[in-house]
Amino acid sequence: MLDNIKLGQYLHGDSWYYRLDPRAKLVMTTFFVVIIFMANNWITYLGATIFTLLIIFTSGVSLKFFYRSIRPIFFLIMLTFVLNLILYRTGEHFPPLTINISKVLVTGYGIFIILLIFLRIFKVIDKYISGKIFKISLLIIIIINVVIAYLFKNEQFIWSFNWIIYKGAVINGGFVILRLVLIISFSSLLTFTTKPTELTLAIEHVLAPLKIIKFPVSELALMISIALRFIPTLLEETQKILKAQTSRGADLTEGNLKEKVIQIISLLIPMFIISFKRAEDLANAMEARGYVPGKKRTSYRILKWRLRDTLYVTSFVLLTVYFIYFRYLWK
Amino acid sequence: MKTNRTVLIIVEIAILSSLSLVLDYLANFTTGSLFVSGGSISIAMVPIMLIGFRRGIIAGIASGFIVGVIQVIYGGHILEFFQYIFDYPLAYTVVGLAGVFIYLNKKKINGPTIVLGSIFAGLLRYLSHILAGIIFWSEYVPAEFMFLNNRMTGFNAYTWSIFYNGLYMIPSIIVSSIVLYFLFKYAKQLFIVNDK
Repeated sequence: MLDNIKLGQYLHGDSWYYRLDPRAKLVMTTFFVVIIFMANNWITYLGATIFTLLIIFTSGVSLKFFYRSIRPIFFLIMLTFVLNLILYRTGEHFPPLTINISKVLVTGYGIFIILLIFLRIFKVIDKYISGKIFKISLLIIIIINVVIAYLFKNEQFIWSFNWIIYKGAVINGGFVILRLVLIISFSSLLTFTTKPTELTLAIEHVLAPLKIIKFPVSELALMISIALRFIPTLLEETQKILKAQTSRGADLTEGNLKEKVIQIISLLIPMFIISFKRAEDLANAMEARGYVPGKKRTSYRILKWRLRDTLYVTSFVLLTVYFIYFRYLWK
Repeated sequence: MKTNRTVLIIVEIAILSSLSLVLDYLANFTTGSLFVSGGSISIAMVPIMLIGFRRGIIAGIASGFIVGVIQVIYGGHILEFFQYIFDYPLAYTVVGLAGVFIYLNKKKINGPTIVLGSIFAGLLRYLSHILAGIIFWSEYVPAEFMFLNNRMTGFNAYTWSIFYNGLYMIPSIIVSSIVLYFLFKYAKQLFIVNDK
């Protein structure tokens, strides 16, 4: 059950983007997410798209991974597009789309939906409607439409209206989709190419100015590193306890809410006890090796700022200048 | 053996944060696919709240912040800058405030404190997700608009965000507070530290 959990999104590889300083990557990705909102016309979006595509194609990460990170939010992206189609109402528009609803049509769909529900109830269709059923349903709906349109030409409509789609709506919706895809791709690229430990180090460096107000930045970074290190260990422990409790007859997937809560607790109590025990051991080990909170520590990994990082940052400055020029000055 | 309390607290915060993430992965296995734009019914809040009760709110907040940051490092759904801040680091950080009721109860832990504290912290996280949703959606959905000659009111960023986030947050809050209550009932030693 737990064997195929993938922790994080890091993909092994090597390219100029992998070798960049994690600080540069982290700060510039955040910067990109902010400045992309400056783009407002086709030329700024074109610039942003070419910029992102250039980085993605030279980063050595296969496109299918970007597709995988966009897929879970596909529904959300389409929803924003549809909302744009509905809400945007200025400027030129396409010929109106006439939607007519008649009594026969409503009855036809009603029968079809009831049929589907019956098939579900009598377990003819699987618990979850599969892709095949969905496609067949769409086909049947189209057939119903055509048949009704042919047979009942003279039927009175009970509801008829024109849906006007504005040209601006399609363009605007397109921009919104593009912006979301660019943001998701850019932020995924960061987690694809940077190890969690490197990112932690980068966060420590980025938050370093907070040390002035006595914010425990290095302790926080240490805690993040320990937490990252213990995730696989605790997953393994959880698996062991799950197996042990299953062998005693507990089943996390069965039972009502009360039984489930009791089973969760039978999993959690040993987990917490193990965690606190490990914490004590680790604290002792750290003290034995001379760890004193608040004292200056040296790091095993030392980040080095190179020419390529400066060039990378410069490219973002140029992109910002490009955005400002084509947004405010270009007519 | 006498252990330096600060080091022990640091390590406990770290390990319980990682336990919280582990529980979150387990939950994603069972309910993750139900929710299109992130979020799942999970007991990931339980360890953060527990450290909040055990070591006080500062430890709880630190633990929540770490969980939020690691969610960021491992890659979450990023759509907009402020949506990201509200959906990840801030949403988990406020969970650490569960321990706040102990201070009102003369530093004594009992059943009602735990249930109240966990519901309070859970609602704060819910609020943070709602704000994130409003920040993202208010750009696309005005409070009132015309659709096919009908005036549409009520379907706006606020209702959508409250509804969508409520779908997984309310069950999560209920389950977390029940689990914490029973944990306290059966294993008090987890909540009360006895340092010699």
